[in-house]
Amino acid sequence: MSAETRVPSATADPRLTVEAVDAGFPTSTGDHHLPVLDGVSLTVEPGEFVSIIGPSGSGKSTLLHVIGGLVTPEHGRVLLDDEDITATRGHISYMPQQPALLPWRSVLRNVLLARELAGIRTSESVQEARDWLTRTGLDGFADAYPRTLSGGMQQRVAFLRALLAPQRVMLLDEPFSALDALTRAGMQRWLLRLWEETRRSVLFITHNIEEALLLSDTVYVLSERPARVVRRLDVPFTRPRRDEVVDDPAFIALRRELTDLLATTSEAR
Amino acid sequence: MSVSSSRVRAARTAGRRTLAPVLVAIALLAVWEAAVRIFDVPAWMLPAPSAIATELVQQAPRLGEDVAATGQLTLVGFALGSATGVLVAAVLHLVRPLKDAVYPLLILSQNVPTIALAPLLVVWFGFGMTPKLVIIVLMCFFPVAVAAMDGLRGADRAIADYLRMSGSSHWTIFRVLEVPGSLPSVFSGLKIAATYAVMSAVIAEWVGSDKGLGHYLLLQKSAFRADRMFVAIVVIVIASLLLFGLIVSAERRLTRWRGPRER
Repeated sequence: MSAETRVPSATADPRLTVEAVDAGFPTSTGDHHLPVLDGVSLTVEPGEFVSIIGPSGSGKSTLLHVIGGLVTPEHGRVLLDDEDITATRGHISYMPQQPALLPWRSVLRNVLLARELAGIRTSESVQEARDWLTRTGLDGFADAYPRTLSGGMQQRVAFLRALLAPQRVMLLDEPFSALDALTRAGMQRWLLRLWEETRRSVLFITHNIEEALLLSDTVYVLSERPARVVRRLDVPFTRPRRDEVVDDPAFIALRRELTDLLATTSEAR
Repeated sequence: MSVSSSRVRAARTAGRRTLAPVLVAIALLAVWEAAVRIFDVPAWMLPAPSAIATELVQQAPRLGEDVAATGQLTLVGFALGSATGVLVAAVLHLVRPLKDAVYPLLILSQNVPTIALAPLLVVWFGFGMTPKLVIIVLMCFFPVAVAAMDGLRGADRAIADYLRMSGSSHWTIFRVLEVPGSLPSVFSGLKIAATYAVMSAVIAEWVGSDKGLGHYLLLQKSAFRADRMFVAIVVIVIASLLLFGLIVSAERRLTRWRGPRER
């Protein structure tokens, strides 16, 4: 990874491909094997926003750990363009469910953490982080400790940290699930606007159908465990997307369709 | 606006919180003074606080050497013991199999009364500085080591997960997350160790020394000078509080990121 210090255009992003991944865990008795992922394939094109929805416990976090290189799949590969990154770490930029900010670091130094971990410490980085804090209305908090920020603001900081990471593909793991409904709606609009400005490659995990449809270009629906891709949906709404799109009859129809699909995959067990 | 007003409020509550115990302490001293005078208690048994204060002022010039000796012993022992504690905790934390083997023994060994080892240490190391230092080091080592290990192990899981997903090595997680995260816990250990340090320095001097506050105490005991023994006690308490205060102020400085309520 070259020491880039600017957020380049989306075309510089590689394509992320998950190829027929099987993964599982040994059960507590040891001799049995619990299958979690069953031939999961998906693609995130450069500059594409892709969501994965699935019932809770469907193996979404295992899929993330496979992509992140923490879990080695039994079959299948994870590729960044043509590079095989299966079971190797440090290739993706990650935003977890909890903000996971270091409480003893200021907001600014938290935003810079992902770059620092990659060995990048430049004054340009600091300037860039400050610019992003200003653009997102957090400039007054650059030197504050995370505990003084609300949950929603902490998640914005965690997003900026991922955005400024040198790794080009962003993995967002249910980033708004711990927020209250009102904050969550605000954060969705905030992310939508920010993403449309930057057009980074994003893989977004959620169990919220509306959120997935509002934000994504493509939605993958996973089944109950062992998880398979039961549906790949191209979201037809144009960009830039306005949040009123949720009232569009086509949107409502798609939401209904996915809700029914998720209900049947959950019952099928 | 709200910050400064809450700071004022905090200062006011802190003032009220220190005022009450100070009043109680003054009342207790007054009762002591009155009781000694009313019942005419002999000074070799229990001197009045005023007599102790007078003696303290008179003895102060000749106590300098003893205070310096005990102070040096305490500080060196405390520094050595705490540093060893932190170092051992870090090594055990990083080398898991070693920790599994050693940690239970470490906990168990805390039941050995270190003071009881003192005579043995004198046999081994003679009457110099070494046996006394060993006692203090042993006393300070355990609370710091155990607290540091708990602190290192108690690192935030969500942050550790984030760091792993971002490709961080064990060493990076240790450096970026676990070490700074263990500071509050380490300071709890240091505060316990600080009170142990002064106490064990005095006791170590009882076992074999020709200077220091412990030696002074023994000397005054054989002379039946209860007032001077109290003088020594007062000086020991002040030394203990000073060391404790030093650590608390270092803690405040280094863990400012924690909310005032968490501290």
